[in-house]
Amino acid sequence: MVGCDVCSASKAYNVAPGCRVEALKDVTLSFPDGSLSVILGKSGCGKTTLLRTIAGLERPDSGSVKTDRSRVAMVFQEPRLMPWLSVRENVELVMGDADDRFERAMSCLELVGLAEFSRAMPNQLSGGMAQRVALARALSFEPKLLLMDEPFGALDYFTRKALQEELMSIVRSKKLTTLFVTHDVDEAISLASRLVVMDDGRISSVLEPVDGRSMSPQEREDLRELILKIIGGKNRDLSVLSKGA
Amino acid sequence: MRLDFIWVKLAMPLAIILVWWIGSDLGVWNGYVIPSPERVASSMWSMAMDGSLLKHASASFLRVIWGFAIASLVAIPLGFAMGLSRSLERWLQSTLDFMRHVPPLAIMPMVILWFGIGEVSKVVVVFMATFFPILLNTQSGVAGCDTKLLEVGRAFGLSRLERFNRILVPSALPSILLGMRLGLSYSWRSLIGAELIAAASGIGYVIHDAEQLSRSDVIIVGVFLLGFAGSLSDHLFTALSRRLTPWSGGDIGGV
Repeated sequence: MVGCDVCSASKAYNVAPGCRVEALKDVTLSFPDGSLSVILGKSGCGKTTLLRTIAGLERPDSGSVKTDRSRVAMVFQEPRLMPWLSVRENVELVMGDADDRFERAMSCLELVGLAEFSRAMPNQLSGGMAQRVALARALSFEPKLLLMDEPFGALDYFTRKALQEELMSIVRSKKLTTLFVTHDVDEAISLASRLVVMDDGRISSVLEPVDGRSMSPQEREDLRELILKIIGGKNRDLSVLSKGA
Repeated sequence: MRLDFIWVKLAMPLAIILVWWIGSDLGVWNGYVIPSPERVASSMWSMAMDGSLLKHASASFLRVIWGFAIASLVAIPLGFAMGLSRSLERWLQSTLDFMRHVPPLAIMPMVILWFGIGEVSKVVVVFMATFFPILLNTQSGVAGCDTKLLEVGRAFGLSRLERFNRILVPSALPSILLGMRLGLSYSWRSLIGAELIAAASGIGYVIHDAEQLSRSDVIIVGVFLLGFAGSLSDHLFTALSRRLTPWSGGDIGGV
């Protein structure tokens, strides 16, 4: 069963008169139901464009994305909370006019450990707390596909680690199909059950299954080296990568 | 409000009144040019007792309220439309730029010609003074809405109307309120100008009439009334803004 299917998607932007940048080049990829795929690559390699295309925020120039858009939720690089709404109201924002909005919002806030801050305003939260609220907002949407665009990039090491743990446990318990974009190799290895390495708008490699948690330090280091080589363009042998994972 | 805070606010006005009172008492200046505080207070008291104070103040207040309300009703929707539509903005921008640089009082003779010397001409002058600050601030508030917040609405499938009501309007609200506050301040200034030129009631009329009768004490009463009325309306509006936009700290800028 497929949670999301990207077929030959290409996308280019006009960044200046006469200057066109191809962000996605004929990308074909499937994300199986319940998988946690991490899309990894250097800045500007097309990771975010791929995610935004899947979310429907960008229309591909060619190709298609097949997914149930009504059940796709996104967590952005920044929390993007509405400053005029309380924490709970921010979570409720995406729920429409459902009667059980309050209960659902509170249960999602509880899931991310922020139920007691439901009345707080966004400017009273730390960066990590705000990003947790953004995660609760996405979960309250009851998504089938959760898209996360470097959500922990701006956080300190300890908060990032804690949120990674929380995310893993939530995603596993809810069996959510999750696409997580990052440029942090260690974060990618820690989170992924499937690693998609992108370079210059293309999919360089797909590594699966990946289980960074059960790897020995040496295996992690080997995988890390391998990923860095792929991103550096020295090794594009998919079979080797899959085995190594 | 804390007592020491009230004292800080009152210190400067009290000092001015004290200097004014001492100067008048010692005959430092001519009592005809600057009447004593006692004379001004006495005139104010008699105007309050015979009802003229309330009559003229309420006439001015009503004109401001009407002009301000009509300007808000026209400028806010137009500001939203211009903030949302680049083509509409391009169509109207040059004309509106030209019009907003013309002081309302400059076309007062034409306004009198078109609308007579009754209430309508004063309301039109207030409208013209109030319209542009509200329009421009609404437009900039709408156009300046954080696209990242609007994108959240799109990503979660909110309809256009939901994005408008739940994201765009609250986001633009502090800027709209700032425009309304500026407009309110301008409306008092222009109204008094209009009342000085052609009116049979209002604070401007009181000042103009007192000038004709060489009653400098009544002129100062009019000036005080104007200051109180402007401050009161500004204070009320700021309080309303704090209540409506607590996330912006109620800080919608200074006038």
